[in-house]
Amino acid sequence: MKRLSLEGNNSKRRGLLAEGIKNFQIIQDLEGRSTIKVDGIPFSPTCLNCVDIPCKEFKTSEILPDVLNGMPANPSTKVCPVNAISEDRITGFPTIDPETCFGCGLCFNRCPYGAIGLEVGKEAKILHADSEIVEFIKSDSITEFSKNYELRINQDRTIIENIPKGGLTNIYSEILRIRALNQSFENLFTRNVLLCLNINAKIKNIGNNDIRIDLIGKQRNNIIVASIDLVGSDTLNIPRYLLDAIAVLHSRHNISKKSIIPLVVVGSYPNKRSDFFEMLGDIKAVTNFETKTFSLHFLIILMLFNKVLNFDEIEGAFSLSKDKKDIIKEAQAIIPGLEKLDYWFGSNYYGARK
Amino acid sequence: MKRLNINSLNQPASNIWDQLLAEGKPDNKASAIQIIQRNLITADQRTFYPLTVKILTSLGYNAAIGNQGDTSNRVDAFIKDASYSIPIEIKSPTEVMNINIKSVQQAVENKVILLSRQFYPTTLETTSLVIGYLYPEDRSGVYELIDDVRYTYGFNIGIITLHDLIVSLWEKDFEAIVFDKSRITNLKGKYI
Repeated sequence: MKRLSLEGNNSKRRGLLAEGIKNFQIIQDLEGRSTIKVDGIPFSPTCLNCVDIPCKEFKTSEILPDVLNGMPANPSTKVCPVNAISEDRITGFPTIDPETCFGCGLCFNRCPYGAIGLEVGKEAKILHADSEIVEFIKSDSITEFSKNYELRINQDRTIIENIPKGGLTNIYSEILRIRALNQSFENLFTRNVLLCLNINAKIKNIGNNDIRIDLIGKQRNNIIVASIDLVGSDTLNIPRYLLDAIAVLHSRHNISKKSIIPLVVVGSYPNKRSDFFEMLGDIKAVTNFETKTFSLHFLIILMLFNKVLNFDEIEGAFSLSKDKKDIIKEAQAIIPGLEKLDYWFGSNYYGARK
Repeated sequence: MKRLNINSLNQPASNIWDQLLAEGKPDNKASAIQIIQRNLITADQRTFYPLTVKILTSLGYNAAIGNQGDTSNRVDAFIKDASYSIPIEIKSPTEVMNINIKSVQQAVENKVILLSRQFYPTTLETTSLVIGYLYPEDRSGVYELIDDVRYTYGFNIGIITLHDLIVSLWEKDFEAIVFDKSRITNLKGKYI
């Protein structure tokens, strides 16, 4: 069985497309039906059985960025946090176990060809079709195709037409259910979402209590140090953990203060009366470190919309304080019309509870 | 066993030895400190916090318990000064026996809050204090973190046990040794 090679195309943003094709779009409807549009011409998407199976595996370089190399990190390269993706023993194609999958969208985001149908919060399916696009691809040898063509996925494309209200809550319910059995699951899931947003990141290994950092990531020259609290049980401690982690990174590992970006990922934003917001403002005022705070919800939205989180481009944004307790404007700037697309827009996934 | 007279803690600071040694003062410092330490090992926040503040007051500081219930000012206690105010993180033995990493993390946060919100005047270098029952375990990583914090933020985190505070107070009250208040104001790491 021949597989399409993605050698030399490290990023999911760089796949394959015939020369001369300017626009490649994957459109996903609410029922998980997927359509590819090549310069406006619709095709039925199909799994190309990639060599490195990006829907199933992260690269080692993605999960072990070159920072804090002595840190014993979780070595899991699996994209699916519940290990629902395997390879069919007969065909070798990736396949998704519908019983295990809960439709989080990670594999959907990773597939460069739109060949995973996603019903958000329910399940994902590998799509197979003897469609025109297969013939189109077959018109060249797979190897030549790989060498000569480059897919440039338009970053502004919408890959889902709407965000089902219940789908996302199903995802969160499932995350919390699994977290109750395995507390480190929240770190693993968050890491995988950040990887999909183009942030190489590692998390501490299970049982390692010496490292007081949930996640450390790298994006170009930026070193991202993250504290993750999806259940809201530790929110007031988060600023302390970040101040500690920054000090350790700078003092012991010689990481320049300028390159460190503190990141907080919460399940939902705290109550507006919480001291959390004021504390982040204090840290900025006193130490000049600008903490970025995201809800997992918005990170998943970014992932579903195939956005990347470019820290060089969001200076000053997603930085909360006593006087700024929501991310609504920034979110709308990244995804125009989000207020119509997301039922939860304006909720505590976007800012402080009233 | 001689018990700490908790109810007497609201009395004037001059009576502190009567309060600490309710059944009479031993002749020597070592015995007195031993009795006090033994009596305090089960002290919770309600006892330990006001006692700590009272000892600091007796040493000459303008110390006060923080505003409990004020979410914007969660510091346990303050030494108030016209120029060099100090936030204090207090750990009673029933919370943690040894000063630990979390205590230092909270002291760093206290320093950030005080510098930003300016409840009282202070400087970057003025210590942020942790007072606990015992010094940290050697392998706790506390001393390394204190060094990291100083290197990264320029904050001095000072740690002191109640034992050492009481020894200083004894020396001041009964051995006529002048207590140098700057020892705490400029404390970096462990009190020596």
